[in-house]
Amino acid sequence: MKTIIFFCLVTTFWAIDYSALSAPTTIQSGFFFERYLSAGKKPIVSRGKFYFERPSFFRWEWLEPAQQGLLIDNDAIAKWRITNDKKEIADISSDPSAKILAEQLLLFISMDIDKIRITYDVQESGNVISLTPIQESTIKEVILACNTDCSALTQLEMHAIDGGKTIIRFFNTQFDQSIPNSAKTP
Amino acid sequence: MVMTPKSIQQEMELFSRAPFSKKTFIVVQSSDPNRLIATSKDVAAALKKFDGFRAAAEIDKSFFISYFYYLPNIWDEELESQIEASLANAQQRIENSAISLTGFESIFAQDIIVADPLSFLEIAAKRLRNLNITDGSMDFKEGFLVSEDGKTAILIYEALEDSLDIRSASKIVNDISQINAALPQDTRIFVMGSARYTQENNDVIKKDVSVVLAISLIALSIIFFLFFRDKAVLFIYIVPMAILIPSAVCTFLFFGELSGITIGFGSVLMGLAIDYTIYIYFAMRVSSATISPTKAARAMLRPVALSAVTSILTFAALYFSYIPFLQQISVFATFGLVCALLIAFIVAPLLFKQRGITEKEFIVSIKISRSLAVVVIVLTIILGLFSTRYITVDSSLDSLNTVSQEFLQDRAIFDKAVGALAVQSGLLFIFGNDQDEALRKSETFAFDNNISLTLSNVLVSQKRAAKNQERWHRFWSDERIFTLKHTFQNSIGKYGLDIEIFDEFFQFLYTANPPLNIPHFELQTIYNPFITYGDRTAVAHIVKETFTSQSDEDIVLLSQDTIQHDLFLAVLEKLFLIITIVLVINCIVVFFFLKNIKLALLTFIPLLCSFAALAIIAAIFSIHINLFSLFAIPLIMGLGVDYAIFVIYQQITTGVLHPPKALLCAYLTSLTGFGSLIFASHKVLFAIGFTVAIGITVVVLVSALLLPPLIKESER
Repeated sequence: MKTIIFFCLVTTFWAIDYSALSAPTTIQSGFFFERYLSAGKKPIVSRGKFYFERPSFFRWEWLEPAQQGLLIDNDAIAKWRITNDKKEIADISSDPSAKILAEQLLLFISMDIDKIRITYDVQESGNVISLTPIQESTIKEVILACNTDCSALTQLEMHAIDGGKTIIRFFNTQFDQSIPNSAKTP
Repeated sequence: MVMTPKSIQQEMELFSRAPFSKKTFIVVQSSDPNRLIATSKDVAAALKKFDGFRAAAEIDKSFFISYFYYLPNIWDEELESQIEASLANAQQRIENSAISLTGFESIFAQDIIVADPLSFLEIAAKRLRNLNITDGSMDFKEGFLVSEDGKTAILIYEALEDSLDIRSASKIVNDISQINAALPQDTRIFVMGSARYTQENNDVIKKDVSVVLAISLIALSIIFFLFFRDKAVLFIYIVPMAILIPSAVCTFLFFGELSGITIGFGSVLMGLAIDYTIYIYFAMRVSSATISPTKAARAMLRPVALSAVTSILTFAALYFSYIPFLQQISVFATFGLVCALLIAFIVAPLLFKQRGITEKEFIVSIKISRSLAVVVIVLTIILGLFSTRYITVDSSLDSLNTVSQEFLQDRAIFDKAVGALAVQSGLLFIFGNDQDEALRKSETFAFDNNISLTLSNVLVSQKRAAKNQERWHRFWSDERIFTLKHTFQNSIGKYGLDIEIFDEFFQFLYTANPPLNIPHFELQTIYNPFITYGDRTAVAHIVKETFTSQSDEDIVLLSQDTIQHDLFLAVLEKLFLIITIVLVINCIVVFFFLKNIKLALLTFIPLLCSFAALAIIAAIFSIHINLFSLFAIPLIMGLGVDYAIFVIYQQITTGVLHPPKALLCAYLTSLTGFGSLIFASHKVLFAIGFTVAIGITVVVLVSALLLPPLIKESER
């Protein structure tokens, strides 16, 4: 019983240390991307790698099943895809959907909790952070999970209001490693 | 609408119900294109907190998805051939969709990709773009119309029913100002639409009313200080105020509303109403105390009543213009002048003392010979006639609108953003007994005239929809769908996708029916295609083409040019009617009172000279005559003839009761009324004030200087 009370107290008062999550200057990580359609069919699965450097460099690169990606460097946003061994690059800096997506991604990856709190209501439970948009949004809820010592994100789960769901699982995460020059361009 | 003749109000009403006319446009500007959408979203969120803004249904993914499922209804020959051509590279299109589904684009565009994996919308959306209020220079992004340079966005809201009501309009404009104040420095918003026009017009008129009334009161005070300096004169001073309020109340009760222009015209009424009491004041002042006040006033009855009757009948004639604001002015001024006349003859004689003072100060000492007077009059009239060749008439509707510089700048930004189409295109209204019949007639009209009506490409009658669906079913044969499925299977497998993701798409190709959860396509989201007029319904098409006049009464083509032309003709027609009425009335009244044809004709000479002088001034200074400055003509006729009558009575009687000082005072008070309108910003008030002020000045000069030499001794 004492153990249970102790566990409850610990989970209630043991707040996540966001400074640890937002401390790294750079993050590199592999990811699995699962997209669940709203119709409830089996998920579309893909895999890739991302690079993040504060304050606003982010390369989100898919390696399988198709090679494609998104690169955000301050205000510049580019996307690319490789089809039939041919790389097509497009500047989508003025595409509002891409811009909003980029802003959201940077928000979660950088884990700047003060900024997150401007648009989301933040709830913590153990090593899980639940974000609910304060204003009307197409996102219903975002669930972030971190590792046991809460030094790194391990999973991002985004629930849309239409029932769709995206799960991104991170692996081989490295902090404060210099980002290769080849990753700095699309 | 208050300034248009009732005869063309059907056209104006149709014009005002045109597509997009029931929308309020919130224009968002940002010097940083990257911030535009975010700012627009902030503005949209802020607007939700205010009453009076009902967002037009959002043009988002669901709008386009519902449009996609509407395609079988508009599946005509053109669309079929375009989509058939696109199927040549179906495999590439499918692969593109598959790649998008496995990457980041699936997060925000998955439902569209799954519904339309072959990107038919890319082709069909062009038809919606053609309906755009813009000329194609703006595109829909995130539910906002965004300009090509990404610096201007337009948020579309439904205009509320009472957006023409000044309180609602002011609230809308003020709410926008509040939101604007909270925006960063490099961004701003403003509103365009009926509410802004209402508020702008009201602002101008409110300012004008204060300025004009203040100036006329100050000018009247100066006149009294210079000419009277008499305690009894305080009564003269309060006459205008005493009649202004009851006249306004009477007009309001008669029409159920009171336009700002009518209130602005109060200064004129004040200037005119005072004249009759002034005449009585001077008559009493110069008459001997040996006769009774009533008798002294009665001696003035004939000339003053003659002046009053001509003025009152002139204003009464304005009622036949059937132009709402002129009708209001007609009732307002007629009631006011009748009251002023009654006050002058019933109350004034009891208040003013007879003093037997001879007025000498203002006796005109210039002696003009009869021959010189004739030469000056003839020359003025000839020059006036010659000048008419050089007068330009501005018949544009813009010459009647009065808005602030800020509004003009904002409208220029709006026009530039939406392109010239919204401004320059015509509106084709095709009537039917119901919506479907109107659509059917539109289709027939387009076919008969061999033209393409952009609206008929996206909104079709039931008969056309059925025909198009048959075409869809013929095109999407089992064999074609089977082949397509095969292409899908070959293309998506390598991306780990299962063909069952696209089950709904294939089901749609087979049945032409959208899934149950898809809302019906509502074109009204971006375009008000139907208007109800009486018990009939019309489809409103925006057209670039000009058509020859249609003999079919169910087809009405309107453009700014046609409206302008019809408005001008309608106003001219009314103007000629009013001038004729005023002329006939003046002739009858003047002849009835003077009982002498020559003297009656002489009263019109100052008027002729006045019109000639106006023509000369307009020609020399290249002044454009607008529609409402033409309405000054009957006013000059009705009011100007008063001074001629006064001078003729002065000449044919002893002149004691008609001192020149009375004429000068009466002229100055009238000039005060009309002259103060020159300080109005409202173009209509300015045009009438300027023209009448010049006109009556010439009438007074000619009456005082050139008429006396023309009256023979035998007639005196």
